[in-house]
Amino acid sequence: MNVDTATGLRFVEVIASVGVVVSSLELLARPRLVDDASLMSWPVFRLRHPWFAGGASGAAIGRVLGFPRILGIVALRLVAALLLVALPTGGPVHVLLLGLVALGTSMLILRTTFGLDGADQLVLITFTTLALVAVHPSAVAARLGLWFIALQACLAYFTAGIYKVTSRTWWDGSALTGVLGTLSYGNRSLARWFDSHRRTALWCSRLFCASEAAFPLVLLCPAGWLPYFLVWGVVFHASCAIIMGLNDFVWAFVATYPAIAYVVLR
Amino acid sequence: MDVALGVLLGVWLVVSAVAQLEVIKPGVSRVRRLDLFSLVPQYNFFAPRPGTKDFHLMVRATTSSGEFGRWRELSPLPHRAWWNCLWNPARRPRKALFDLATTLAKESQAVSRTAVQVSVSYLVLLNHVSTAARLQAPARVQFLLAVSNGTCSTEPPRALFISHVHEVER
Repeated sequence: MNVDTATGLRFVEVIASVGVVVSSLELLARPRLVDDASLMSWPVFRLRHPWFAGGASGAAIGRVLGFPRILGIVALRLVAALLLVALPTGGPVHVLLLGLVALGTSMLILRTTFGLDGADQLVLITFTTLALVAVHPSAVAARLGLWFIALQACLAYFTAGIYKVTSRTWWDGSALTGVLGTLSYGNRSLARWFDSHRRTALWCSRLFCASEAAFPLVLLCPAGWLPYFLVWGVVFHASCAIIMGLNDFVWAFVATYPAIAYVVLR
Repeated sequence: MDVALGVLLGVWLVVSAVAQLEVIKPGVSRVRRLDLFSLVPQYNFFAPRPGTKDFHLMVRATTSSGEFGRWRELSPLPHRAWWNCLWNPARRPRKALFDLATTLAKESQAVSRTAVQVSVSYLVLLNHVSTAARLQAPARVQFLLAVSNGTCSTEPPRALFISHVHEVER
């Protein structure tokens, strides 16, 4: 069994687009999250760089990123992502739609990274790669794009895992209990349960860190092991969404799995 | 064209990998300073030291008598609902407050109390509280960042950073 490049790219695109639809709707449903008085205020964040703060470049960028115009960009990103799911691939319209999602995501990041997370970064990397491949849709470009997305995902898992494995607080389980104890990313019942079952917390934490760091082994193990790695990934991200509220990571990371499947099954 | 794309993606991947050393060797990736679009990712999610505290943004303003009123919390962190695994718009302001609080805490240790007032994180918070305080007339406002130890702790939140008093016109 193998995955052809067109199928691999299409699945990456569709899953990532669903994530973009959800995150765009979340912003449009609460426009005040990005207004001038918000914690993501453009009139203040533009002061962080001379290009944004004043002059012709500042005025031009401000016209695009200011409130409420930024909502127009988010809406455009939403429509482009919906069309990517609905329309067939190929042709200039496809390139344009991929470019709009990549550009819309980069505009949000350019505005401020405060309030954004790793899923936004991976979405930008994924759509920029897909757009580059779509501009020059050769067989080699498609293979390069899928390899690149797969390797970025493995780098992400390895980095997150290795920094946890080598962290004293993750290795003794206290970091896991600590994060779960927060209102921001936690779950009160689970935190209390882990707090009274320290040994279980310790081993859950070690298992969680080690499995994250070991994920890149998917590229080296026999192809028959692929489903186990991918099921682990889906369960891991679904758990983080349920327990920590990190819903955007599910789409951003699972979108890279067709690329990983292509690389493993090629 | 294939070669150009290969070189581009190859360089991007190598730069991304080197940039992950930033956590243990600050300054290793000078590219990040120029990377306004965050094309060079930072993948050390929740590691090596995850946030195990909650931040609370408090504000107080002077009343018509000129005296400061009580501290009140702006947008207290809501408890999450079951559907937040699918739909979670509150994660962005929550993460923004976390990013602002951690940045301001670092900046306040690195620069003087006067200089920190012109940092972007300070100005964002001041701008936010000045609007949220819903002042009816010119008044003075002050904000406070408090930190609590999470839901398992019985300790009360403690002050992490207290701003100067600022005159705000309406």
